[in-house]
Amino acid sequence: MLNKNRKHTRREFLHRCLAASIGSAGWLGFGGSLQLASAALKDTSALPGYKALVCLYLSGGNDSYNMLVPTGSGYNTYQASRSNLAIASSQLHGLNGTAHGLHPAMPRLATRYNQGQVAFVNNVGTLVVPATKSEVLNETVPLPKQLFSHADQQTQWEMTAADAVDGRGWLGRAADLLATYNTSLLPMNISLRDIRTLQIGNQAPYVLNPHGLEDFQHRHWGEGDAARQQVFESLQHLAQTHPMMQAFTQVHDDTLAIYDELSTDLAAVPAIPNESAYPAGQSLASQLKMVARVIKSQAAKNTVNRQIFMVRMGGYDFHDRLLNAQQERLSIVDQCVDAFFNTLNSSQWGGLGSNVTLFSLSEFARTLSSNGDGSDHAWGGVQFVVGDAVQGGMVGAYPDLALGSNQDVDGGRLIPDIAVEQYAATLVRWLGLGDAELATIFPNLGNFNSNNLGFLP
Amino acid sequence: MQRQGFWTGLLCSVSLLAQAAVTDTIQISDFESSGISPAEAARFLNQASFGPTEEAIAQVQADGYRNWIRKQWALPQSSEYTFMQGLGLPQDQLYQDHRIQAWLTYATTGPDQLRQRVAWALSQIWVISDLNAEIEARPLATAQYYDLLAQHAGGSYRDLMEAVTINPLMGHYLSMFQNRKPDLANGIRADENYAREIMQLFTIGLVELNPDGSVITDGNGNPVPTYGQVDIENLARIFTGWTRGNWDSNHDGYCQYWEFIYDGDNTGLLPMESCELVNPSDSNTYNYHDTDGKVLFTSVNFPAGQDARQDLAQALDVLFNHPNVGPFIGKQLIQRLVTSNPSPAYVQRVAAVFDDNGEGVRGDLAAVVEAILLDEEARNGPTLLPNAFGKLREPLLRQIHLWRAFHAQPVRYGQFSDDSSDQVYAQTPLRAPSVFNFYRPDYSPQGAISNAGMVGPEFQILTASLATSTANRLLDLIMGQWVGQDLNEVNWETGVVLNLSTEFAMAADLNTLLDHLDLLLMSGQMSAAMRSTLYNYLATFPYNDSDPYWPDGARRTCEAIYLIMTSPEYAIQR
Repeated sequence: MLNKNRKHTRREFLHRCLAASIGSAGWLGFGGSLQLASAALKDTSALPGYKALVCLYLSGGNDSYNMLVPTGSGYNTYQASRSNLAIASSQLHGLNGTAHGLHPAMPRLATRYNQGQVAFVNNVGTLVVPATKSEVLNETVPLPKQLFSHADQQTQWEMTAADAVDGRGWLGRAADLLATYNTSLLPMNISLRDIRTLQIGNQAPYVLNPHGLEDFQHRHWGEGDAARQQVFESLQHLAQTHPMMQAFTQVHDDTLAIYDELSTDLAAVPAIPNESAYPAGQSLASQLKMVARVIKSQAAKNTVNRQIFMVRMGGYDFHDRLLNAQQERLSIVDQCVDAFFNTLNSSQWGGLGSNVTLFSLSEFARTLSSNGDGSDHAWGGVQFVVGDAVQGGMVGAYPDLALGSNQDVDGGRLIPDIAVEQYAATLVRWLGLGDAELATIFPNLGNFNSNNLGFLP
Repeated sequence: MQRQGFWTGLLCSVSLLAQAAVTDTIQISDFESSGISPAEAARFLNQASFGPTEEAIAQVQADGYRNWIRKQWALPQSSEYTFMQGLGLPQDQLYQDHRIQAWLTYATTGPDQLRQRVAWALSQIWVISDLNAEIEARPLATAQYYDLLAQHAGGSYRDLMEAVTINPLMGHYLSMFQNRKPDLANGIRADENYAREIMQLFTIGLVELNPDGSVITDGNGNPVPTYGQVDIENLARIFTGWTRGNWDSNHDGYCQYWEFIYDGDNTGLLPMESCELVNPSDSNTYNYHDTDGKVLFTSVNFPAGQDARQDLAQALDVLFNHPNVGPFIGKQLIQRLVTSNPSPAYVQRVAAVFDDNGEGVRGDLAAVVEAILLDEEARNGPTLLPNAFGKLREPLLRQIHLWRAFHAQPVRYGQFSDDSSDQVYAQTPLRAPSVFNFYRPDYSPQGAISNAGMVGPEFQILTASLATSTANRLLDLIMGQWVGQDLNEVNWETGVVLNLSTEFAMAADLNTLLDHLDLLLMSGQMSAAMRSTLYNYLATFPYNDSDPYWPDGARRTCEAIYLIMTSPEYAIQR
């Protein structure tokens, strides 16, 4: 009987949180949870239509100054700095109205740029406050901790304010503040790969296997499965005082409840019309196809108005064999992102391309200087944003790539011009957050000159 | 910070409890002799091996914990390399799948359980991954890398550091292989990858630690970093000048630094070598070690003119002697073997043994492991810290636990096999997604665990989808999977079945069966409520099943094992 009325579970959960937060310092420690709990009970019928953000996480530190390359007078400087890592200018794809070209592996993204659906955000990275070279070298301003380290820079990209260590990332925090938009059991944050801090809010993201939902087979194994399931549930719910046992049970409860709803929804989604456009055998392709299916299944539901997805692709830590490895990686990105938006804009999907915005996240760019046949961990880099809602173009100034320039702290590690907070705030503002809410998510946002980079309406 | 809060809050009550435990209620076992109950022995074997068997329980009872540990170290090492050679296949037909077979075989049946279990822990600290193409292409060398960890598991940490540092697979994974000295005129720096990770992950960590593992802070309350970018750059230059072993095989005795002949595994089987012998008239034989002077940690000088070996040895000495290593590595070994949230005092006791094994020797891993396993907190954790002690069982180790407890046999493929544990568990030996392992030691999932100020590293791979696939894999490996079963009914993922004849016979009396399973699977820690729930369900199945599919007692046995191994009380090893 434990599964009965499962769909009421979340509402009960929120009621319990509300009660608990009154007397529990632990809950009060998460600013905004009180607001969340009370707001979640509001009527949501008047809220606007469906929007989804898709984070394309390129793990390892994309060498983004080999992705977006100067073609005009800046090319010689680029070539000099990059030495044996430079890409020939003749191989770059032209971007209309700019003095830049796109990586040879990305013709489709270049076409979309020329159609106004792509923004490149230049030299964005982790910062505490704006910083000049002398301020960085003399450490006269606060700096992000452990620059150039994968795990730490990923964490700071995901949490943005290293001092506000409460375990939540900015997509998780955004979802907490947007909770009123959805009444579904399904968490707003969905990961097609793994749980990362980025998507952790008051609850962890739902992790969805890109190859399809899988149920507990003991519910379907031979005769007597109903009785087995009941015992299974009883064992999950014996009273336990150990937090780890409680956490284990919570995972099981969430898993079952969501399965029941989402599997029904996905069964009604049509076949992907441009299936063959996705590169075969690539994890990123499977991940984005499943995102498209979930979007199709949820966008029309009045219980779901906001969703945040993360897809993730590794292999960007180009210490060796950079030129070949990046060609191979970015080609997959180019094909997958293009196919994804073609799916969304197909008649079968009902033209959802303006309801979905995809953005890249990679923890740092790489040293402009070569380490022989690769590049090492650096700092500010270029990110891209794609979608029909995007106001395409170049965002921010493309940096000076000369080694030893006023932006180069050492070996072609560039001090960012744009903070992660500014990039992130512009993205989640589009989902419906205002200045005051953005300030709570991003405590350091006020240190920078603008909280809106303008690439989304 | 949350964790510190947790321990500050608990410290007082813990020490009181511990005192009470020693003087009153808890009989601290005499580690030298017996007096160990079967349940205590089983609990110990969950920490010190890949899981208890009836035979192993009897052995621990007969030997006592300490003697059992010392006898374990004395056993010959099971070698994955030897296993693979013994398959009788030509080298170009050996794949990483065969290495996985070796790992599964020795985890399940290897006599040197303690050594293999510690090697497994070390493989989650000194991470390499065959998701890297250079490693994937070298399955024999990958097996040899794991053997290296097992070889040093009871040896000196300093020796382990050196063996891994010059191992060519680590060289490929973190790109110290053919790392070259800077050529600033051409914008080329030394590669910083290995320099960074050996400090951050393998030895000292990011911040200065007290001996109990707590973070040292400066006057403003900020953690004190252990190193800065300058140190990384200097260490990167120290680690220059290393290339493949046997470099002079066909070059007249001169080292050709960039030589890279693809010869299957062979390049990976020889330790990297420095390139001292060069022919001045041939630029291919250039020595790429940076011989300029270097400085680490602002005051440790590396004189100009030292060769690659001298620089490397000095750097490893410096890192090895850093006071962080004991608490930093000791705590992670505790987390892998015993408990996710060791008390600071436990960490400090283990770190002290790392610093000095009692005979003035630093970094004696056998002594460290013994200290971890014999510690009062390891032996009496459920009583001392009932709501904090323990760890989520690693999903792959649940499978091995099952196989060991019930004497599994590989009937389909002739070897213990598994082609998909990375997908169903997110865990395959030497196949982590990054150098940061399958999970981070400080991962604290939102909810009950983070609210309690605790961490639960293994929860990072207990997601909704992995919870499902893990349970489903266990179902596939249990239901109908007994010795004598029709091969068509045997699971395809592993091809392994269980020897359950003892259990089938016991199932005539459910109390006998449940006692037995409680001991083997839960170290006698099954709650009364869980037991009665199981009893009532199992009693609905007659011992003699009318369905010919089920031998007598089989239905009861399989249902019981599955339901136990998917329960929260089982999942948290205490």
